[in-house]
Amino acid sequence: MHSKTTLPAELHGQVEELRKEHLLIDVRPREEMNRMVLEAMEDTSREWKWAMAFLGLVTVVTLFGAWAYLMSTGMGLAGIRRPIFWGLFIVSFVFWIGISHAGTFVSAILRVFKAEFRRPFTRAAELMTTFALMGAGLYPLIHLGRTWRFYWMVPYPNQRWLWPNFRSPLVWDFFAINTYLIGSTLYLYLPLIPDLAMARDKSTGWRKKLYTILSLGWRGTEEEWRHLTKAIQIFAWAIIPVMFSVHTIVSWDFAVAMKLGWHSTIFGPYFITGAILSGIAAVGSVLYLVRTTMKNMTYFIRPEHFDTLGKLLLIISMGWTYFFFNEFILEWYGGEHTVKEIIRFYTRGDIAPVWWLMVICNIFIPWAVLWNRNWRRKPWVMFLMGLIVNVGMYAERYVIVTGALSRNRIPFDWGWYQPSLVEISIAFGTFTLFLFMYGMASRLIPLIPVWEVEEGHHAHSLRKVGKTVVPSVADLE
Amino acid sequence: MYGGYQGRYEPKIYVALFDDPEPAARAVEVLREIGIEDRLIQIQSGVPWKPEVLGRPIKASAVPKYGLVGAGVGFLTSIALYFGTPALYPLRVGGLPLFAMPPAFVLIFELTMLGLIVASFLGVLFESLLPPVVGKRVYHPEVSDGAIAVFFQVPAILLDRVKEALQQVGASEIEPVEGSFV
Repeated sequence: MHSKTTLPAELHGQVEELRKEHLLIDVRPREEMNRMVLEAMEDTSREWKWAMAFLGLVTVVTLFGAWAYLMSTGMGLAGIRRPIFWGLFIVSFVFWIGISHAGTFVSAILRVFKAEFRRPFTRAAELMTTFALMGAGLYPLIHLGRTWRFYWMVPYPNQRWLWPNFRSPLVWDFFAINTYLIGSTLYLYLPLIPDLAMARDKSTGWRKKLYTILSLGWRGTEEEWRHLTKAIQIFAWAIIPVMFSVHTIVSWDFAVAMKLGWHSTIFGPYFITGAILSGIAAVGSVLYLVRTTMKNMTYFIRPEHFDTLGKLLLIISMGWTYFFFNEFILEWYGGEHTVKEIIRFYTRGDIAPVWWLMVICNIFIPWAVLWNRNWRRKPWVMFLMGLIVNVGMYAERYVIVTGALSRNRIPFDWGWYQPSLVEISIAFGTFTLFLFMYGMASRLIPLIPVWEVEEGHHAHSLRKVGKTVVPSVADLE
Repeated sequence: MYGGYQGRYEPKIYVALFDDPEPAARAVEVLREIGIEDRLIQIQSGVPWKPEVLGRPIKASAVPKYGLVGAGVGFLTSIALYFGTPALYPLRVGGLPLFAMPPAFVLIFELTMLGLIVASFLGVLFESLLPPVVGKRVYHPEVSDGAIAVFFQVPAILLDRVKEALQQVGASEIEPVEGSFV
């Protein structure tokens, strides 16, 4: 398929260059790719074990320990006080829902558009979606205070005469997040089945038993492939509107309130763009970690992938800036007294350092760096860009949630939010939980969808055009 | 003597392995020419090949039908939840209508999509008979390494002819296997 013998000898130099650049031109036998992926999975070095033990311990203490302390003592431990009833828990909730857009955007949207560069890292991104949603799902429970009352949300006939109010966006959240969590987990699992079958065939001991169960007896028959690929198509199309609905509904948690600074018709798309921005940024950071900490990953994840992610990040950053400015300028022009005070509070008030941090991290730095191809191609640069943008996006949520609540129509109702140590500890704990779950999963499931990469190898070939040689793609999907 | 006669005509399943789709497609053609029906041939591969590539009959997947049914169930569930339960447990808030349409769309959308997604997933399992409940099914582990395995059911009387033909089109290995197609 990529045989150099069909191309003139003088072009071999160019062919080598193209192979170095593009994964899908750099064909390796399936057997070798399987071995590389399994080797990466089975490499549970001492450093990895220490890292996991450390992350696990930190998570137990900072997240679950602090949460237990909060439940046993009461919500008074949190820094939320009238009029600011939503604090770091809701900020973190919105943040993690945003990160969860990584997998769907990278996997589903790029799959629908048949963007070939997606192939090696769709699963790494989908895994982020599932774990980020799990992290996000904890926050409504934490924020409840009396977590054990959660079942009151479940609609079933009961003696309490309590019933979920379907007109409340919080109930919409419940349905949207659960739909997204179930959908994205199944969307992660379906394309994983053939790779689990591969792992089943190549493993021994407990891994073989585990993969035998998880691969469901997959054999790769025509029937199985036909149904699987059809279902993946359906999922890719179905999960996109669900993704949009989730963050739109999260934005409606704010926008449906008659609260100045929140009650905006543009909040839906503004939140979605922000979510995609933070999601793609996080994919860049996670891919860097995967590439540098796991064996053989430099073959699968290459500068070309960071380059395309960088372009996407730059475009989405521009989109986010558009919505941000649109929101800002219209409120500023409106001249409503309280809104003017909110804008003053954001840009020159006590919360201004966070607001400017958001602007610098989400606009100035990405725009200054990502226009440059050489920087986009450097994995460590994309790792840093991912962190910076996510600091900016966390700051954005902090400003929206706590900043707007700090200023109300009458100064009597103004306030200042100071997150407590327990809140900071819990918020930090979800980061370590995410890293812990991701680190564990990276050693349990094939992070690279080998069959999709092989399919990409079959689809790509080199074609001589004039005096040069160029990659060419056949539509095999 | 009678047993020997039976053995010659009793069909058994064999597998031929190929490295590329082209010889695999030729193998299917050869098997058809010899008289083996499509239903007695099964192909296993490590990547999805379109049926046109391997010269196999084109069939539509039933998974979308499952999805549609699931979406319907989700839709009806959402209607029952949104309109049925407030009728049973009225929650009157500040003169707001019990059955407001705009919020209904949110619930209807989410549960319809949930039904579609879950049913499509179940559709893959049901249609592909995963996980297998009874009996051993034919499989060759080299499929995981990228080989294309062509399984075919043939009576012993035709075996030599089939083997020769398949070797001519590039089969790397032909061997008997235990189990059934489904």
